[in-house]
Amino acid sequence: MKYLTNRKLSLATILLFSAMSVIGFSANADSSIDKMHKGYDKAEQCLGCHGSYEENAKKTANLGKWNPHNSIHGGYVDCTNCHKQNKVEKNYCAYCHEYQPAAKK
Amino acid sequence: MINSKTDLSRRSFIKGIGATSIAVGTSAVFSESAEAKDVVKAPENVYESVLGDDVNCIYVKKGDFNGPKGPIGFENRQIAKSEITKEYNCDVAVVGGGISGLIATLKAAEEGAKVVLIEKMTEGRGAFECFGSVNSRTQREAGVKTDKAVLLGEMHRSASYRIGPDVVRTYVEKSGEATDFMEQMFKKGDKGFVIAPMPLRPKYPNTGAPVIDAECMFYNTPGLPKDVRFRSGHVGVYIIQDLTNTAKKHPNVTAKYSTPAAQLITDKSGRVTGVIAKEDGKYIQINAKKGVILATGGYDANPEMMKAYLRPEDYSSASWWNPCWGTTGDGHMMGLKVGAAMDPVPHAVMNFTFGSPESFHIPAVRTLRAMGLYAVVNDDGERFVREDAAFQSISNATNRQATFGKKSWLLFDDTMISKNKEIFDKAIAAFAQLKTKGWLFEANSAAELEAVMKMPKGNLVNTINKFNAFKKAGVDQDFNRDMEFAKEFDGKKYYALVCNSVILATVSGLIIDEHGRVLNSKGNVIEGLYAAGNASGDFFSGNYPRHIPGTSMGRAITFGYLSALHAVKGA
Repeated sequence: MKYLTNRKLSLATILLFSAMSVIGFSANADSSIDKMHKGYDKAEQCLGCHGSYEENAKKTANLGKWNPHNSIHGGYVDCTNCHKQNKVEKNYCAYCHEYQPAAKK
Repeated sequence: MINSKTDLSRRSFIKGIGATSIAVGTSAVFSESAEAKDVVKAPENVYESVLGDDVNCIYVKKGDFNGPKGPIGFENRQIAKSEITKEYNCDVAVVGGGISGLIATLKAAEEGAKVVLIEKMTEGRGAFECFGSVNSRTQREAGVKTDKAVLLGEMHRSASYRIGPDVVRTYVEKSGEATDFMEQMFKKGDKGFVIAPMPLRPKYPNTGAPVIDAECMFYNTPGLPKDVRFRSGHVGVYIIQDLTNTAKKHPNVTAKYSTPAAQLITDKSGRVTGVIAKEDGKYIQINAKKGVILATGGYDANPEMMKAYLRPEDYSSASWWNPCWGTTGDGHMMGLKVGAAMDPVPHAVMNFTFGSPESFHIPAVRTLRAMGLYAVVNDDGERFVREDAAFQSISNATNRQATFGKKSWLLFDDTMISKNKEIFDKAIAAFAQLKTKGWLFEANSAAELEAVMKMPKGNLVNTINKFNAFKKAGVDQDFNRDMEFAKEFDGKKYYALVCNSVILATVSGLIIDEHGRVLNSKGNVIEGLYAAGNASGDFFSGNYPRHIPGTSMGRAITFGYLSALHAVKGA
């Protein structure tokens, strides 16, 4: 397993997923929160329910080393860069910095 | 207004199609069908349609866009007078608070003008660490003598002569003066930034590119944290902060952040008299007696514009680096809407090599000695470019490989990493994480490496043998790399690190004259409208010429300065 090729990696991923689906199908199914977010793909839609960008930035003021919604590089940042519906799909900060948002307290 | 005719003709096209199916055989229908053939499809977005009827598409296969998306300020619709909630009056309105916008703001303010600066984001973009300049105070005092003719000649050659002579010549003549102004502004700031000539370190000595001494840096600034001083792009953030503070404190400046510009205002003569922006979600009108300066940057964070004006291969497989995503081409679009001329497409992109699939490779890897000695191969284990070429050239060659689904790999062995044990160990430690991501492969021989990477059998071994033979003979028969600065592969460990092209910015824009005044499609000045930095054009073509020192930052500073000077004082 030391030198995984892309092909092997994707095979491993498929195996992992099939294993997971056998263990617990319900864990993979969409939760009610997932379902609620279906079709919400634009930043304006996000902000429509979750409040303004600035309000969200206030909520994440203590989320790890810095505030992902009010960084030194400037906002507003379009929600869909990092979020896909109710999930964080890309952690853009981590592309350049060691950054893992801390869980909410 | 410009688009109304286009919309009409497209509507008649759709009507024409409908008519064909109903009444086949009439001559009227035939002529409508003939017309219909010219109008192939309705525009997908405003970026396709903004040029109105005088538009011609160059058809290319669509590319994938995986880059960031910024908030767009430009609005194509007519914003009614009744929607304006507030008016501000000033002499000069500056749109964009990056380097060119701040220099423009400060220069206009220092000349006594009342300035309103609007920036869409909470911070202006500051992604730089040095800049091009000719004959500034610090360069003169250090005895730097720039060969202006060589610099100017290389700028033209790098743009394939697709540019006019005035803007680049003005850069060469006036960038020193603009640099000296920026130096004065640093004296008003509280961070104590120091400008000094960049020591001349020829990067591309035997590639045909001239060695030009025309760059300044900030690294001599006392008190800057060590990791900030030499981190590319890092120091720029602090410089923008410093200039922003100075601008905000200036009695002549009103600075508004989180205030996107939506469109320009013109009077009956076509003169630009102001700009409409959005403040706290409401429209405001800023009346600018002496001019509006567009300093909005490029459009690397606007997927639709990237697709409309760039080669698909330049972005389809690339990574993005710049973290401030206000660059959505608002200035380009606002200018086009009032009739401005823009650089011909495809536009020039500022691209770089050493990319990971996400961004740049981490510094622990990027700064290795191996990065100067590596060979570059594709998924088949074959070289495809001279590795000592300018970074944009390697980036282009990488994109060419990606067009056919082939990744690029930096190939090196353990003898190339570093002779310093501490650096060597740090690199090896960093490799662990890269391996888990599938970005780095390691093996005990070339044969083993090509096997684990599933390359065609014998290819990589052959490539390395050939490379070593070229080194021995002193001539690279395949790509003419200067083998004096190459090292043979003879280590115990072989490595392949994935290598993406990285997009930093777009660098084509609105055509300006030597004062920064935006021109219309006939080459006449649009009164009251200026553009600077990456919103402006007539400077680059094809690629940003990374082998010429700092011309992107240099032009931003120079034309921020010159446009403000002209707006306030005239020619």
